[in-house]
Amino acid sequence: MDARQGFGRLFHRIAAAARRWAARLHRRPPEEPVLPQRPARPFARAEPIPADPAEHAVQFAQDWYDRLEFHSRRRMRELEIPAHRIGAYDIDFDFRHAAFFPKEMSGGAHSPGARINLNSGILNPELFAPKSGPEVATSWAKGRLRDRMDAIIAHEDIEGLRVAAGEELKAAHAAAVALAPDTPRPIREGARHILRAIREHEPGRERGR
Amino acid sequence: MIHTLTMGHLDPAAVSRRQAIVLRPLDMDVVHRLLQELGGTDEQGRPTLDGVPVEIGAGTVACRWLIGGYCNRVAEEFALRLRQETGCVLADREHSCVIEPEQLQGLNRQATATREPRGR
Repeated sequence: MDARQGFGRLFHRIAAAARRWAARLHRRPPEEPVLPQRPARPFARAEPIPADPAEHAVQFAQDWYDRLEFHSRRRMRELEIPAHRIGAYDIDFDFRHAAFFPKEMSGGAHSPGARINLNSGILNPELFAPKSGPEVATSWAKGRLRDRMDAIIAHEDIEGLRVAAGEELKAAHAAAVALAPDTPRPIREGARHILRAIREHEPGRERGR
Repeated sequence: MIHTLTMGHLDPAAVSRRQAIVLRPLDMDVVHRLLQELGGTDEQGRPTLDGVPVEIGAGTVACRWLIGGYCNRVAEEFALRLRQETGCVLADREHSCVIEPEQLQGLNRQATATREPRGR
């Protein structure tokens, strides 16, 4: 009986050693890379960056429209612009209602009913250069995006309300230039700095230089 | 914030919807003659009015008009003369406004829309 158990153990040990050697000698092929069923998210084609800052701003604004729309709306709400005056119809995109118009370049505008929108001009550091004077151009170019947004909203708020009340556009613009730095709306100090620079600019002063 | 003066035979009703629908193209001979009289060219050869580039295309002419506290009086003069000669419509499309000639000062006329006094 003991001799049988001894032979059995020996046989199992020999078999286990044989399996180990067989495993060691019979190497598995390296795992092949698993090809995806579909190509992963294709990379966007590289677009050349326009040399003109205004065109570059439009390109960027179109790429990041959703974020800019979100922040434009939120900032107008934070500045207590009534909901019915936030946004207008963007004809460049099938009259979608938007607070941010990517293809327009003026910084911002207002529509009938004093509705306010921002546009790609807020991203253009050279929006005011060179005709508004170096102080305005510098304060705008160095201003943060949120300051620029506040400055435009404050300006268009005043101008839009005056036009809606029947004032001529040019006079309403002049009034907005004069009054926007002192707006009661809680705009940032950086925005007031930009608006003060615009108000203090003497038209024609740079012509003599 | 920046106002652009668009000149052309535009549909006034469309301007109130921020559209610039051209009913017929401008007489470009008149446009070029007035640009020669009043404007210049920039380093790239584009026409300018008071140094501000003029965009010509799709039967219209457009030029920046109000930039902060700056008013492009040369563009106003150009617009007034163009309207006088062609009967075109003057508009600020982005602000949905048709601009009447009385609102423009030009180079020699009295301003009807004066700047508000500072600080109210």
